Amino acid sequence: MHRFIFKRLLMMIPIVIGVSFLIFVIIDMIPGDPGSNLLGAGARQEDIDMLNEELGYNLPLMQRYGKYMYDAIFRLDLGKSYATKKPVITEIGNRLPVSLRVAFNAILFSLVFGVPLGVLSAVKQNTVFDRVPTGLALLLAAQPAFLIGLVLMLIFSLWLGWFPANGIASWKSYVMPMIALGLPYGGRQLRFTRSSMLETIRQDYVRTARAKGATERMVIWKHAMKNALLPVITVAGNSFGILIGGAIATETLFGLPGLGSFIVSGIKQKDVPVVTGGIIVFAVVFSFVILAVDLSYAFVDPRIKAKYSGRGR
Amino acid sequence: MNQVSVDAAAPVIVFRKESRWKEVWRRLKKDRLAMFGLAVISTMIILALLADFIVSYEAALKMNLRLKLAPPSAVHWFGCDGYGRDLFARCLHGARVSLTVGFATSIATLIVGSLLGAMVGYIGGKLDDIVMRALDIFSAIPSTLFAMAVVAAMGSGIVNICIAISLTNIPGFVRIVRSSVLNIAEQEYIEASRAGGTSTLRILLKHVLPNSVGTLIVQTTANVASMILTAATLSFLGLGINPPQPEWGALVSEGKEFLRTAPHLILFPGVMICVASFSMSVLGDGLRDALDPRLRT
Repeated sequence: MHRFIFKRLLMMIPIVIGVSFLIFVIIDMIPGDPGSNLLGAGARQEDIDMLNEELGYNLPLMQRYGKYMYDAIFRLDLGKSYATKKPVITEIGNRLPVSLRVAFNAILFSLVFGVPLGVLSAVKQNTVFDRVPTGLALLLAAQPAFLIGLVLMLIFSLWLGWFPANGIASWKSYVMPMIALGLPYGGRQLRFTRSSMLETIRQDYVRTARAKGATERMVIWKHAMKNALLPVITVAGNSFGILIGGAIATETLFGLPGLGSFIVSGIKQKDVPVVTGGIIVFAVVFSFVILAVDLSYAFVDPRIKAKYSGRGR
Repeated sequence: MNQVSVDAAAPVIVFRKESRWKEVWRRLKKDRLAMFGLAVISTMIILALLADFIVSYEAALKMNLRLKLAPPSAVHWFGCDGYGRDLFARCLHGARVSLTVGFATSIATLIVGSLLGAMVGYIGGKLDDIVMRALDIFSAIPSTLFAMAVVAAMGSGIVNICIAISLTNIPGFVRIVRSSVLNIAEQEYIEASRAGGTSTLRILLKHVLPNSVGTLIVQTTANVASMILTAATLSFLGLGINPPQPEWGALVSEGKEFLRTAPHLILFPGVMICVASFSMSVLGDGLRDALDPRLRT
């Protein structure tokens, strides 16, 4: 088990190096240089050159990348934002918790309504308890998060005034982003739970459980549920990337000071350290989520635990 | 010798395919929700193609400050935006952009993804390792951010948006095709074909890919739905098409400035996005059931 975790952690290193290099190259291709972006159209060429030199932007791409990685690895320094001159790592430290709170609230919310409704619609297949949730889930999964966010904003902040439309003042600010992001995600969750559950309740061991006289509730929630949840966990983890995409639009919409909106403004200003640092952090978080998903299998399914602990891996 | 056997086999393959697609269509026709999706998306495509005959592109760009934020009326069915531009014309011409991006990216992903996926899955070994590790790097970057960075680097415009969105979707597609190919490659008829001396490329194109065609179709249909959403999100964030060209996500983004006074500005393009994406996903579900009735749940 420990070996498996250690190996997976080691595998993150080449991924982080690859991600940072790729982003470095792409951001470098954005037309213009940070000096003229920051000083605006009327600036003198000498001032622009001086600022670029100060930012270290005058060096060739590979040298800049080498220096960036050296600082990142040995000094835990992700550079300073070109625009604000603040260290990127502190900015990320302030903003990452906001993004994670939004993302995990949304996942929790989506699981809370997606999984039980998915089980219900599988158990009551082809009745009204199946059709209504499934139809709703289909409709929700087809919505972009920013659109649900806008509708919520219109109803609950502009018309009713229950929740703030902008910024983070209290827990209330997290409610609408959570729902906007959680609803489409939960629609997906519901559909996967339903199909996974339908497959499971047709298995022989479920019939055996019924045959030996277990109550229907025991059969569904103990025997079938445990097995049906495995694919649901996988989907929840793997679509974390989709969730992050929605989270970026939601953060921007609700004016939350999260990592997503930070990177978006960085891309628009060609702020290389901001974009590279931010995306590396997202990539690491994503890798940890996938690892957590894989590990959670081991808790749910002893067969997989045996496989992880085996010498073969 | 080889030539003869191929010629002899050809008519049999054609016959089998025809009956299979007829069968699929027959099953699909029974699925009312899928047929609804097909009807809606076809109507949208036709309207988008005929957009110039319904309202001219100039109407979508013509500003008229007297009509600023006008509510829906008999003349301006969807009302007018903050510059007094006719929203119906903008939604209709926006459909061209949004649907083009949705379908073009899905088809590009289909072509590149299935060729690459089939190749790495079938050849395996070092090539498989290298490509899959490279794809791990791509998929570790949140796709919306990656697409935004690519659009920023290459400049906005429909073609660049299509390239950016396709790039973010190819890794997932390669994985799906690869696992489907790995499955097929173990079958006995592939082994028989290889034993008969057929080249790898030929096996790939003649046997492996045609047999994963169901997976490809279902995945591509579902992709159209999600790419319409991705494109809308990109332009909502302000990195998409060049204004004043209309696009659904950009229309919502423009409309959000007037959320309180003129909610119809986000309502109409928003409904367009949802309806298009919903229709494609129910069509995808229907196709999946029709192609493989065993999976029907």
